[in-house]
Amino acid sequence: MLELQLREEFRGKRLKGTTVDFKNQSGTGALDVSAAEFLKITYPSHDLLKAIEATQQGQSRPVVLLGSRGQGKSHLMAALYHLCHNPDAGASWLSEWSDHLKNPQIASLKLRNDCFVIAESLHLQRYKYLWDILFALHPKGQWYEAKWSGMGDKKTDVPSYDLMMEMFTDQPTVLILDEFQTWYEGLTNTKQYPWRNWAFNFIQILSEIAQKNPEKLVLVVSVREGNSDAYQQVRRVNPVDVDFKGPFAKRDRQRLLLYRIFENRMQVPNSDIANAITAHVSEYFRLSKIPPQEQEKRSEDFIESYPFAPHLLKLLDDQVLIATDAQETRDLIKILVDLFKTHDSKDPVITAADFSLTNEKSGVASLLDSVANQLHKDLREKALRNYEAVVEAVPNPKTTIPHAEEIISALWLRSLTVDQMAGAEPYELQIDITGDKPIDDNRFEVELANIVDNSFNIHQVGSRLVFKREENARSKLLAHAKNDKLFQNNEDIDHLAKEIRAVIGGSEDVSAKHRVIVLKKKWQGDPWSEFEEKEQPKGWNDGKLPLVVVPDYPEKLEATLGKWLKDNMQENRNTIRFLLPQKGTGNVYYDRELLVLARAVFLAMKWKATEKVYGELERTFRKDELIPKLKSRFDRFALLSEWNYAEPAKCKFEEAKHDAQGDKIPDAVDRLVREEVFIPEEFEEYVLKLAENSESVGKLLKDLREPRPGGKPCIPWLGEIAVKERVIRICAEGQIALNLRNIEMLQAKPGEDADDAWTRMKGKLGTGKHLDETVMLLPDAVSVSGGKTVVTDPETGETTTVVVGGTGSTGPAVVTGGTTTGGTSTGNGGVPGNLFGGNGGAGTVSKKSCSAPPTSGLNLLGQVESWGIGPATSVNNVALKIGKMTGAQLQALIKHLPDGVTYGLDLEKEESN
Amino acid sequence: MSTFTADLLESVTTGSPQQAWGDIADHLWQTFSAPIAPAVADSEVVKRDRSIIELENTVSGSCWDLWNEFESSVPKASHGIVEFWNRIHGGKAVLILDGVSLRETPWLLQQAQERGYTVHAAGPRGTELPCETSPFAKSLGFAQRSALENNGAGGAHKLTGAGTESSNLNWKDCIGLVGTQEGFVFWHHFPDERMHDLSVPGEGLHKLARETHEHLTSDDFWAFVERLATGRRLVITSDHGYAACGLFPDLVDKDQVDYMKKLFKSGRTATSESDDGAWVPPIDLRLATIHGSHRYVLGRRKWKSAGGYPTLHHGGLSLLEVFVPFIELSRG
Repeated sequence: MLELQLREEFRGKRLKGTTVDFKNQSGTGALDVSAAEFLKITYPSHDLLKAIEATQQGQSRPVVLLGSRGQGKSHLMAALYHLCHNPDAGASWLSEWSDHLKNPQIASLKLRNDCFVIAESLHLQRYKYLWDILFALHPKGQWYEAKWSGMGDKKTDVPSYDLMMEMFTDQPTVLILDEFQTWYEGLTNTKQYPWRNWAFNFIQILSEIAQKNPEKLVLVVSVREGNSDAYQQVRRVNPVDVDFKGPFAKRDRQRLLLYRIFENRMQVPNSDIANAITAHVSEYFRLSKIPPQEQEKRSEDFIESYPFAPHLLKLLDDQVLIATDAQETRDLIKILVDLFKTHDSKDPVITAADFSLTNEKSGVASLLDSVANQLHKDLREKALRNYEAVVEAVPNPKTTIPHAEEIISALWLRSLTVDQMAGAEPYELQIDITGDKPIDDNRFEVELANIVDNSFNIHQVGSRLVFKREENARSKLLAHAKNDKLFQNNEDIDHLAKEIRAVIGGSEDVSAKHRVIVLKKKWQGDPWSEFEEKEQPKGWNDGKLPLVVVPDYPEKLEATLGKWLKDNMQENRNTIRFLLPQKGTGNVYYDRELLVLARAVFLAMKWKATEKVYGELERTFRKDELIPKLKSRFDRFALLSEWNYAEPAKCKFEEAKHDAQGDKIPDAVDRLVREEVFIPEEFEEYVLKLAENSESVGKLLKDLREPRPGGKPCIPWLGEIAVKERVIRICAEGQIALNLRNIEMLQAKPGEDADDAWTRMKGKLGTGKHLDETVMLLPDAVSVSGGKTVVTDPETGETTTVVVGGTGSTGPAVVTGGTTTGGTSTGNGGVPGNLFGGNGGAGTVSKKSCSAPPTSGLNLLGQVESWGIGPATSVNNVALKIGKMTGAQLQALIKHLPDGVTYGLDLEKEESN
Repeated sequence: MSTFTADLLESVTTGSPQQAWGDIADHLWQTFSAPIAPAVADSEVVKRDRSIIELENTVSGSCWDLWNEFESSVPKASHGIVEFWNRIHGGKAVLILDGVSLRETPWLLQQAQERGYTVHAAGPRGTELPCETSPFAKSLGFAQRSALENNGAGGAHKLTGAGTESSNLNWKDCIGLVGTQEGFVFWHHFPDERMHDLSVPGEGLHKLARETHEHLTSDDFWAFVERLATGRRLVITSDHGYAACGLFPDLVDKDQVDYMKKLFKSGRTATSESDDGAWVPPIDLRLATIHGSHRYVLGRRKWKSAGGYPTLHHGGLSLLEVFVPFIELSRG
């Protein structure tokens, strides 16, 4: 990799910490080494230059370094110590960098050379009080300590402002206090031991001196947070804040990192770098859709961050380190060094994909060291397990998913974040795994899909993929669905058949009209062994139209189906409608995609009992994936048109497209069979032939269920209901008569409208055995009688409607009716008078005499009623016979006689002598 | 299909009643006595039954007045028996198969021929009107059919000296019932009883035809016939025929249906004195015969009645009810 060399300290097997100690026992502390040696690993970051500037001759101000752990505060303080302690070395370092960075201002910085430099890491707790440091390390410290102690009773708790002023006037000092906040916050503060108050008081004194007399005291302290008490006191004197957050902080830190890690990073020519990373960069532009005007700047970013990809550094900075609570730069250095050491040297640029999950030595280990969050620790284990699962599940993983590890690693790393944008877009992953050669988009897509499908913890959130601790139910389901070993007993085939049946036939309860039978794997040789007994043809006696779904479009359609019918159907061969798949789609049970989907639905159905999420997945897989694929797969049907039992290969079939999908197919097929394949004339001819022989409707149905022998064209089977309906139609049209079990004879009346006849007859055909007893006949000649006439009574002149008279003596009569033979009326309607003379024998009654013996009036009324005489009945020659009555009774009777009728009266009056 | 010829039409509509009935009887005999292949026995019977529809409709729809002359124009089976009884001196027997109609003739004739009988005469005869069992019994001088049982007829009947028997046993058992008298009359209930059993919906003529074919061609039956014919000249005839009402069209006019239902219930003959029907052509007839005045269902008609109109019945005025075969044979 362009011969980049790590610095000596990073080359060892075990990485030393990069924590900067001011001093240590082995003499390798930052202050122990020579100024030249320390400055050699120091990059003049903006923050360092800012600190130098704030402490330079004549412009000194208190300096506060604000920043969390590992940002380089200690390093910066140590550098400041060396620069002030050894101004010569410092000056040469400055001028050197001034050249490197082509910035003359750096060389012009004036370092303090008149000061004594005291640098102390307070967290080491080598001194009890802050002033102890000054008294111990300042050249005149002992003297002033003695002076303070000698004050006797006047000795203050804290050395006084004047004393300090005096001491610093004596010897101007640069006081560098590292880990001030840590120390300060650890101080006891009670009424008895108000040490923190004292420290507070003393730092107030120091900062005021440093503010008012910068030539005497330069105060440099470091704190972690700006809102701490420790900082507040210094804050009052308006110090220079160095917070590592300036506009160049990021660029600086990056350069600093690279400079810190590599001996010779500055010596690698940019042009070489640009050449080495061309492929990666151009892929980056293409995949990220970087507009051309931005590309130059982005190219520079790549060169700047070499050998690391800028997107990697950004990722680590913005997401990973924040999420993992790492110690900023310090841990970043460790991670990057580890990465550099373990990465594939052929890779021109180091990306997220180089965080190898399987290689313990990769940056992962050091990253995990700094990870505080258990969740993220788990995630790595999950990622690793996912990787193993993927490699196990995919056949030939080396060729089909060569980048599995890189992709999973990169995705895992990108998922380590606390914000919402966890995970990665697929194109980001593609960039991550792109080295010196572009990766084909399609191949990548396939590979990624393979990985996603087979790992349980990769979730799809919008277009992003993200690793999550919880399992991705969908992936888990698919991973199981792809495992052939789980479906040794053909449960998947059975389920796919069921799904096909459901797609075409609607749910099991719904398909009342059609019986959809989906043949399974052994459909040609031994189809029924794969069905339960009740589903076998013997059980098909419920009148539904059988639609047999053939899983494979046979090469020789007619021969195959003919043989199938002969071998596998003992009866009802003509009732079968075959539903065929699209040509060239192959056997539906060997379609891996369908099978996997069917298995997924099958498993989801099982699993949803315990985990609800699978219920949703079952619905999704079925509704969104499986059903759309199955709906249009079976696009044609075939129907037997010519039967040949001896040589089934010579059978002929009618094959056609039905242009319907899903559960519309059975009806569409039925409609096409009815409207296009079925020839009503042939059917009628057949019915008439049977009617000639007085055969039963049962026989007709039985005959139609079987193919016609002798190469005659088969009459398509329309189902019992349709056949019966058509038979009644033919009957209503007068072509046949139907003898319903000898109870009723259905036959069109002469001149009757076919529709009227239909209305009269429909629904009269029975079912089952009754059909065997219902005989079709050619229409009989029927004798029809009828007629009524108006008769005028010659005696009374009253007009009465009476039935036709046979005597002819009662005046004009209108006779209608006659004999009808073979449907043609030959009646003698309209002929007046008696047709056949006096002995015709038809009804002649116009009057009937009724009489009752003497009884009471009430009984007489009952009698009249019993004769059928109502209010409208006309009666003639009424004689009311009374044996004996008084004149009063007679008068009363006459008074009550109704008006409008004339009465005669005969009586015998008793004469009294 | 129809065998109704113009000549026959001419004869029926314009000829004298005697001529008309004679031609009708000839036509029926020709139609029904022709041999039948055993395999198509039932369907052929139905076919023949239906082939005379036009003749029947003409008689009932146009020439119903012929029925008034039936009794006087058509030679009756009862007269035939009496005539036979008086004509033959020596061994003679009469087998009355209750309810055998012209439909069954071919099996009797065919079998007789095949089994070596000599057929001396065979032809159609008229029944009594009403075409029921009892009038027939009376016409022979018996009180009723059951009077013949176990030689119990007495001596007041017209078949002087005859041993009599009436039974419903199977043919084999009937053999033993035939006595050794010189003259013997056996009135067997077959097929009338089966006819009434089979007159329920769904059964009917098809089934009855199959059964009668089976019986009348069986060895048992002919063994029985043989016993009767041993040393005797034998007449096989019947008291009445029957109508396959199941094949008849239904009356559709509601008034007519109500009228018929009220008058005949589910039967074909009635003794009611009620008014005559009001339709032309009439759907029923009142006839006065030697057996009294009765009303008869005219022609091929049925109607819906409670429990269903019997699919097989007798008593009305349709040709196959009132004509029966009369076969005289002897063992060669």
